[in-house]
Amino acid sequence: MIVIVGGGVTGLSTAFWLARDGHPVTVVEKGIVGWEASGRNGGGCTHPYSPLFREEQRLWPMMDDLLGHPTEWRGHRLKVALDEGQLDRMWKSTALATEQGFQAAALDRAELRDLVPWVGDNAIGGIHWKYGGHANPQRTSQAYAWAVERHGGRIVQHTAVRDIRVRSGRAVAVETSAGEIGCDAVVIAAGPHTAALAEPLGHRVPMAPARVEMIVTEPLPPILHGGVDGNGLYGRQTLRGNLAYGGGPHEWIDLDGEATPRPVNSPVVASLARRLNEMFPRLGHVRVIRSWGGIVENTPDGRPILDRLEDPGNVVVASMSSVGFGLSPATGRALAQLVTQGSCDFADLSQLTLARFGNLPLDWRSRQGWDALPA
Amino acid sequence: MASQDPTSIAGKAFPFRGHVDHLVVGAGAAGIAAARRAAASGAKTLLVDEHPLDPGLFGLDIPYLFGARFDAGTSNAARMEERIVAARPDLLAAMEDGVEVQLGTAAWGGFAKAPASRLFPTPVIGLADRDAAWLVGCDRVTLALGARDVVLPVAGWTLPGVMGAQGFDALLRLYGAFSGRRVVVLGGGALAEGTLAAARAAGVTVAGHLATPATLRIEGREHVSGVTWRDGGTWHEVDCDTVVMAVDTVPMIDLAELLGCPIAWDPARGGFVATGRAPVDVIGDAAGTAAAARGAWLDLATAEDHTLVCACEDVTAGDLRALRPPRYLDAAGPEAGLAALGALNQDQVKRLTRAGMGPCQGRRCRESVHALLSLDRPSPPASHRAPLRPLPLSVLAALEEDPALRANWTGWFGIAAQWLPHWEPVPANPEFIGGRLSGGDVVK
Repeated sequence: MIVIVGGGVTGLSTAFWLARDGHPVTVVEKGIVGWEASGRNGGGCTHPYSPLFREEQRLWPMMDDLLGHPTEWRGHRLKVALDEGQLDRMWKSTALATEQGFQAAALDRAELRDLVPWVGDNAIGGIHWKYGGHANPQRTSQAYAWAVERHGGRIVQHTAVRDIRVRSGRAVAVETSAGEIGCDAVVIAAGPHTAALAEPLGHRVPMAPARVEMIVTEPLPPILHGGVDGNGLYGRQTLRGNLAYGGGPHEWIDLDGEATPRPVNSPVVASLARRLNEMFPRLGHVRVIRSWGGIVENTPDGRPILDRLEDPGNVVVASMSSVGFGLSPATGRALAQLVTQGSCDFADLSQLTLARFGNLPLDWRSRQGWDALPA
Repeated sequence: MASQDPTSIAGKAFPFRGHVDHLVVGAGAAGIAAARRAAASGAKTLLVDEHPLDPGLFGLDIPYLFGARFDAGTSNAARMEERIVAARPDLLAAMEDGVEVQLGTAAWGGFAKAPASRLFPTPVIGLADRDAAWLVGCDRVTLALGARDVVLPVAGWTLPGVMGAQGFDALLRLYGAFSGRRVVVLGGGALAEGTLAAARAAGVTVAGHLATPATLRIEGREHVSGVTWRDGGTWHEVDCDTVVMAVDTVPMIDLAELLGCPIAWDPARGGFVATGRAPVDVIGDAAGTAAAARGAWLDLATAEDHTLVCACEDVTAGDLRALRPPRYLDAAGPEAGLAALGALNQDQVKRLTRAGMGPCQGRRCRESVHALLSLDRPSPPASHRAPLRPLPLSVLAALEEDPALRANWTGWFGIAAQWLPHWEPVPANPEFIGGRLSGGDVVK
């Protein structure tokens, strides 16, 4: 039995790939699958700086069929620049993908407006990324869970993991609020709670939790490529037509125990509206109908930890450092390989080990300026 | 310790348009009385009320089910303000007591200290008029939010002319802008009796009154033309231009929830109710209405799979039971339907079916969806989110912003190494492990 601790996209995708290959898996989730950051994010599927990028791009077009439920995935991204500085920075990040053989095209203002009728005269142009895309986070999370069950895996919700029992250098059981589950391997993919779960195993997994937020407008007539970013915002037009956008300041927080705190919003929602209205000046009348917050974790360098521990040797630790949703099809496949064969054969994960933080000072959060606001 | 992370919220100011000792939201009888008491005790007191509403909200049925039975006068703000002051004479007395009164001012956000945010030590309320949003700080806040209409999703309920008791009362007595002539009233309790009395007092013809739950249909092509209902084996029909659903109201708990007040299911007080927690008080109908009377009505209305429950997102009772994805996906739900989820949660069902996800922010379908999900036990409440009133981007965008927020704005965390190839080592940075995006790197 392989026990996956955490029913977010990373854990669920890992369980999916394992179950699909016939391995017995159980996902233990303290709440509802995909309930936290996995189900409430920008839905972006475009991460060219990741060694998992090629696999991300290969897998997304297949995910609806693989999972058996719609993920709302759509390809391509459009970038809107309001000044030369924005455009320069967009081309720099574009180069990361074009250097790997993906295609992008410059758009002048008229071409941009043909694709995104909401942009105004303040846009100087943009870029059409003929790669990447976006999907519906909640629908995708649930689709993973149902696919795990269809392949014979178990999803145990509303159950918290309290301890991982080790004997002779191997994890042998996972103790939960609903009893013990014997195991041959464990994957800890519990988002910001990963650190607390790994600590009793003798491993410090450095991460700091933070609260981030997004806004949603009423639906607009759908455009062809809804994955449109710019002006310091990330987001998308959903297939229903709503604009869902985030960005801007995050709040570093402290966790209190195993619960994830209710991710409240702040007046930053108005700053998001301001920047969305700057990017799409023709949409000043469009109403914001909702907002949401989410809790994500970051490692000290902002990069994932995808690592199979040496001791206990059958435990894999996974944190995507605040950028997990889009990469999840590929991450899950990589983690499944770490569990079953000890290494990943399609991506270079050598820089994403826990060991890179071996000399980290204990007060690293304070040194980074990442402490929570005073109580 | 190093300098604070510049792209985080630390060190950013959120300018207030004033700070008061005591803010009261809602200028009904309970809110006015609370504001007068606060002012009498010497507190600098601000009383806000969203009426007269942004004209766009009438058509969205926010906050009440207005059913398009309002006349053109509702778009004249000055005239509506006069009518509201005339309808609530205690408002003038409150002003004389020293209460600052702001009408036409909606509370769309509530920001308080919470486990996931230490931004504000005392509550901050987001307010907005038709042109701009702003923040006001306060030491205490009293929520006199009132009650919200309960919609019965009977056949024909989305026709213009179908209203709620609160919408009817507001148009009739607060705005003097009710445009119907012949009404049928649904409901058997004090709410319906009050509706009938108000209609008669205003000279509106009461064409019919259904006091007990029945299988019924609201007739009409473009507007309500009548109601048919079954009594035993016989169908009855009556002509009308307006149907008032006066079966039930529910406490308006949205702002209380945002401010962190505990929410509990208490059908004896109308459904989900909020309990005040210092420094937040919840009073009047917002703290509890009459006992819930909608159960049998909702069960009858949602029995048929084709019943339209969520009009914004076109979700039927059958779609909910089958957990069917929205029509534009042209896909089936899981074989087990709702049972595929285990313990049911209205927010989870919302995200999968989109019921309650539209521009009316679930006001018209919350109770129906909740009833459908609560066959075995009451499902947890669907959450409320800011902005509690749908606000145009331009109105929210007008909120005053600290220049430091723009100077340090970045799309995501501003950790330099996060955006460089992860197959290469992290560039050495003596101060910050992942490096910091700043200056020209930050997308402004």
